[in-house]
Amino acid sequence: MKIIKCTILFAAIGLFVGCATPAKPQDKAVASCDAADTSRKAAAKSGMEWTTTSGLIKTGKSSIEEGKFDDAISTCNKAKFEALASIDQAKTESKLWQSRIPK
Amino acid sequence: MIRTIVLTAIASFAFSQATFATPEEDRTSYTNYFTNKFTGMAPAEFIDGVYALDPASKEQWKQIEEFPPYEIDVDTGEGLYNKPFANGKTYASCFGEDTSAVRGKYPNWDAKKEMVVTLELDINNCRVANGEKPLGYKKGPIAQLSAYIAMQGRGNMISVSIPSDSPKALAAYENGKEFYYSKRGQLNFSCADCHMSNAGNYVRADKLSAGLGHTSHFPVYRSKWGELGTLQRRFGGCNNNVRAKAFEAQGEEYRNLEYFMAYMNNGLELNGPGARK
Repeated sequence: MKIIKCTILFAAIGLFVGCATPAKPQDKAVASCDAADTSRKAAAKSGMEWTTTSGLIKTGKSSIEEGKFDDAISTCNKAKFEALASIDQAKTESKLWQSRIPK
Repeated sequence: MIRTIVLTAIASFAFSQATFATPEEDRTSYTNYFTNKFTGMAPAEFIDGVYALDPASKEQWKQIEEFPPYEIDVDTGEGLYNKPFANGKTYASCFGEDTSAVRGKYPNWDAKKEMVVTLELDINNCRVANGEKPLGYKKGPIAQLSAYIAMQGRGNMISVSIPSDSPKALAAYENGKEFYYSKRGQLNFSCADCHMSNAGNYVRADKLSAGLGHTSHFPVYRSKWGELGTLQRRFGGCNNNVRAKAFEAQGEEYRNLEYFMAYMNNGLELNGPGARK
């Protein structure tokens, strides 16, 4: 019984410590750039990808290699914002384009 | 009950009229837009592109056209057109003996393939059918062949048809129309923003041309390119200008766009190849 209690206690401590440990800056940067790339692919699928987005992701990935993780996060977050904005543009335009046809 | 049915019918009719104008109604409205915007200009004048809107530049352009920069390309295109493939056949085996009639047939709806077919696409179809490798779609030999064919077809009228018995052809036209009027890119511009609303206005040092007449004079020798290029090369350039990722030349998006734009130019004279800034 004592062994079981100790096992549960250690497992709980391990879980707490594991969850509380902040992600490494590099992991955060990689996650940001991966998220941006996923959004960029969705933008490409919508047919409205902007020319600037893939360049930002490339720059972000280069910053990771150089160890500039904050720069990478900032650049890839901007890329993700662009990708989401272009997806939004596709949605908006699918409703608005007809209003521009001359009568 | 009857009142509801009548109101629904009226609303449906109004909606259908607002949403689904026929291509011919579209073309009339499109043409009127430009003739109202540029009072005194006849539709036929728009085939000169930006030079139709800029008398000073038009004079310079006329002088350029006396010794046109595309002349050598047209000659090269003629040589390519008549040079037999490895199997002994030439492009005439695909396009027929009357070269002057070729340009006016494109773009068209291919009922068998259920797609819009452009001149450049059919040049490559012809090559592949005769065991040759396809050419790149934007410049070089395909633009030279296209220039030769365009030169032979000068003076004919643009006459694009949308088969009335083909909903897919109409859908392709509508897709092209949607592309034309949809804003895209980081700069949020549609084709219509530049070439309708802002036609005749300056973008930096250059005047924007009117959309009416756009497809009449391609391929063009652009001074900026320093060479000949196809219409779909220009589409890609326009998309890049507004920071929208360009589509593949001769992909479905640009073929449908060309179909719509060429239909809007029906009744205008073919005057390609052209020379532009």
